Amino acid sequence: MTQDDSGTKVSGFSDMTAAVTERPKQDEAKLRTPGIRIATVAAGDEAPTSLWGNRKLIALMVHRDFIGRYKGSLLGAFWPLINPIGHLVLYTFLFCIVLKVKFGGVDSTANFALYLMAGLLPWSCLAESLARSTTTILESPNLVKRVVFPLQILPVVLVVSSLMSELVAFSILFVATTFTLHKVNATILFLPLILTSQILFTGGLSCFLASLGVYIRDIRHLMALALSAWMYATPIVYPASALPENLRFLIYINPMAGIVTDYRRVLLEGNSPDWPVFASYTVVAVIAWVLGYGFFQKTKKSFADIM
Amino acid sequence: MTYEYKIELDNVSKRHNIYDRPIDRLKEVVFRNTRSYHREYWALRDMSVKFQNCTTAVLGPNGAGKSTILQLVAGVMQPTYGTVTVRGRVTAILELGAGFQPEYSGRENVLMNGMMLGISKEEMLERMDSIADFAEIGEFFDQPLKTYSSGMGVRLAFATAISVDPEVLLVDEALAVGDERFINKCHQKVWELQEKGTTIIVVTHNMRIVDRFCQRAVLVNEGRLIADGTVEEIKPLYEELMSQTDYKQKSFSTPVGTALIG
Repeated sequence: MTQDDSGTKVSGFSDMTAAVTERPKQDEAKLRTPGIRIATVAAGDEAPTSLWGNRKLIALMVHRDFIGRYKGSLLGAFWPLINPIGHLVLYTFLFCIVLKVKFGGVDSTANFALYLMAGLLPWSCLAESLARSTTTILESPNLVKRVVFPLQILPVVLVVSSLMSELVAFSILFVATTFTLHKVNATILFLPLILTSQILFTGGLSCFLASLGVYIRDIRHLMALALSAWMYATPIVYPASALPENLRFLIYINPMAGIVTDYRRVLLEGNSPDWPVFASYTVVAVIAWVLGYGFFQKTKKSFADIM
Repeated sequence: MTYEYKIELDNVSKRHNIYDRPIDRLKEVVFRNTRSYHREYWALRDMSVKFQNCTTAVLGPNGAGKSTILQLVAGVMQPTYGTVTVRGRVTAILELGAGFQPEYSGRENVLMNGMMLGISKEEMLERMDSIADFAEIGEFFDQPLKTYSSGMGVRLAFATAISVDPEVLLVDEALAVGDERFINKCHQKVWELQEKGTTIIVVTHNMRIVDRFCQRAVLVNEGRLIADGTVEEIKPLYEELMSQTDYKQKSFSTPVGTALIG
């Protein structure tokens, strides 16, 4: 085969009948070097790759996701409020009135509801992010196969979006707490610390599941079951002290248990976070983020091939 | 004509691994290097081609690897072997869309498209009116994309892709959907882009579009480069190839591969 740049290059038509399944002849050196794509653009034209560089795109998509979810529904913007309150009433009825679960030191129904909500809110944020992340890539084939899109922002958008719901509900909880306890705990200032760990933990797992969901489509069906099991292994509808001694280890291997307990401490009990516990789940959260995000970044190049 | 190549493919091969069952993909990850669970389909084989600074048509029968070339240049896929070099900002209209989200409105999609190319939100908002004008979709601009006809989707995709001053524009079959008037408008725009030195690659089976827009053509078949030259030189070869191609004769693995590479 010869080629001169202005002219025509023709190789015989005989090539065209080669069997499709035949492997092309590759020398050993080439077999070991995977293909690369080198892209250069003029300075200032680079598409942002970091999450921070894409913050406006994330904001646009979160806004779209958050608004779009309730758009067209009759009660519209009230749904982020109705859902947590509805769950609150349901669980309060079941665990406080029917099953008579008691949180240490408090026995009034109102207090039970507050304890429950403080646990339920971070949990819903995690559960929603994880459940949706398993399909988020599969649901956006256009972004995977047709454009170079910073796919890593897809799971991040889900996390931020469910975080928004959590923050809305947290403000209700804050108002309710102030009314019931007739005081504002200064320890509420520790909230951003716990929230940061929760975000990192949720984000890391979401990224991991978003990628895994592309390879193993069963993940999404498994998630409903896994999340139920995980929820009951977390002291949300019962106090940590209610766990029998031989199951107590669950509290220590489950970062959500520490996070939920610390939310209750700073919001309702006026205590600072349990620092050793805080340190442990923060370390786990950072590791989860680094590994989960890293895994996503490493695997995202092959998404287009798989889908 | 200048000879500074914006797009070069150097010995590029692209392999699709075809798994009969999804579990096989997982098995292969777990038992790495012990057994292979897939069949291979080579969408491209040792392809070396340089795209000149003009409008080039990629011609060939279905499943020849035309779309794979565009996907590699666009960067949505990685080559298995070889090097793909792209110099400049690339926008692509692949299979009647440009990475649009069906639930988003036209306006939101345009905004998102610009932002993922690294264009600021403000700059995109400034261009919004001219994009809406060019696309001529009227009130649909604020409706979800899923309510669009395929023609409207393509017009919006085209309007968006050319609005961001691409240095490389990839068009996959899209122009075939527009009506005569829209094609005339595109022709105008393509001329302007060519004046600016944009490299355009068009994949199409429509020879009228090739005659109108393209100066050069490359002919591919079964993942290999057959010929590379001016449209006048390639057209007879293409017609000869198409008259020879008998789809029934292809080996059994081809339909799977064809489905994969679209």
